[in-house]
Amino acid sequence: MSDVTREGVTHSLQLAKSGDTAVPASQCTDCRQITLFFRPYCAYCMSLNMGSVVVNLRGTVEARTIVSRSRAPIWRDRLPYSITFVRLAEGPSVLAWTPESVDVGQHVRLRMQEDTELGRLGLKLVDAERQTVAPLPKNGSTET
Amino acid sequence: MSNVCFVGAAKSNSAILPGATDESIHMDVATRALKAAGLTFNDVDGYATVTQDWMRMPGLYMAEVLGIRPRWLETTSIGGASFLTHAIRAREALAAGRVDCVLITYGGATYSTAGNALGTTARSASPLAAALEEPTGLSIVSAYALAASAHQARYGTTSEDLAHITVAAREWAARNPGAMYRELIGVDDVVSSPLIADPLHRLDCCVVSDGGGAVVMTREEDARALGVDPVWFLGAGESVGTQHISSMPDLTTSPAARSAAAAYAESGTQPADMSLAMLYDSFTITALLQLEDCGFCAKGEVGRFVREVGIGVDGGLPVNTDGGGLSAMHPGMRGMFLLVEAIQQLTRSAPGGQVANAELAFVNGIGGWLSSSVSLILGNDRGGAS
Repeated sequence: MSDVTREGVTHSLQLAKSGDTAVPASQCTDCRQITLFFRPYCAYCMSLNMGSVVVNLRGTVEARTIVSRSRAPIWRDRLPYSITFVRLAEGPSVLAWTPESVDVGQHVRLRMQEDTELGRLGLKLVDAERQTVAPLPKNGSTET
Repeated sequence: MSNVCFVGAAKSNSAILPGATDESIHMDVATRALKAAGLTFNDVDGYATVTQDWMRMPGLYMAEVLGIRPRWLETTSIGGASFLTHAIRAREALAAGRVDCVLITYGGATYSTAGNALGTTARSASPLAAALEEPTGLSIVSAYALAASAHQARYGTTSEDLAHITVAAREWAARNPGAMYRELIGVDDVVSSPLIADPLHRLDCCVVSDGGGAVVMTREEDARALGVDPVWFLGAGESVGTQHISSMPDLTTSPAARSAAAAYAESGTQPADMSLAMLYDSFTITALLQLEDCGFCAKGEVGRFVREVGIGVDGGLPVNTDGGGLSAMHPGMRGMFLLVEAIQQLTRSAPGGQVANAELAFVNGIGGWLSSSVSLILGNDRGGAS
């Protein structure tokens, strides 16, 4: 397992590149705890024996919201859209954006994707377990 | 430390204050809280505040604006619950004799200067948010909507259950002339209001208003000399979870579970002893989580609790008796109003509905995005001063 460059990096998602479906994470070689935060120590057992591990960006949807009102530039034009809270199979949790609706309990795969309008990388939901991921209805009322 | 008490409290008389500034609101509530205690700015030797994001070094700035030169200053910033933490720090300093009279103030002219879009604009909570949350289009409403979604999925909680929180808040607000919205509404009104971030509707979200509040704290001997009705500080607890909602280990349990347990333990009280509860209601889900986490009902039972026990004017547990952030007043940091209303209930000086024979009040603030919690237990002379 190759070392990651940790200079200036606090979190796994800051290391990801567009197209990635897995990210480097931190694992304590003593207590085996996996975390997306890079620290020179294990916050669980105080061990200094920290290694790296690759965490697949797949897991289970624990919560989801469908956003239908926004005053934020860029996001206002994308309404409605979903945000999902995903518990990765390895334990840590992340948020992901998707133009479609998913249900709590669904198994999903995520991918880092360049968001050219925002000018940064973001986690996008790329595949849900069920194939019936329905497009969200446009309700036409995107401002409050 | 039970000899530390609140001797004065005040809050803005209206939720809309045209022409006001943050500073003018601080000045208004500070003078009224001191006058209520028979004190002046010359008596104040300790000061605490935390203010809107634009104000750097808020303690230094606001002390000079108010015209005080304290020897003790506290500006812990943990979001809307900050003022409750300030009260805990003040209590410890008063008990230790390092300060004699503490003033805590808050003021926000949020509605009159920024309008009502606060919750639906993207906002960077931290340097990390650029990687964790901003790429998903997260706003504070959608962050809390995730917690509501998780609670619904795990416990079968319904949108109607959540709506009961707002309906009860309106019952109290209808009795409070200073509340922003006072018309009585029903569950149907809440669930048929526009969805902002499913499952949260517009009426699941707090108002965006102007307003502020202030409290004054001393030790017992000074309170007795002033001849005021003291409100005793009986117990406290604090808890910090995660700043980012994406890192929460469990979306259905707030940091209030830990802070409330500490407050009950210190005060020797339990939830059933409380005459009223002032809970942070930035959204219906925020108050709903606290009803469970602060022990008023078991986890997953809150839907039944709000329907069958009730938290409104005729409910078994009076909650947010000023009308709450959901209906009365919320300029962005609600914690101060929880404290002021609890003190006013215990001194029978509430501007709205007065809880008969109130003796003990439970106060719980939530800060950040379900990030921090502070629990206080207050009582009047009948409610357990030791």
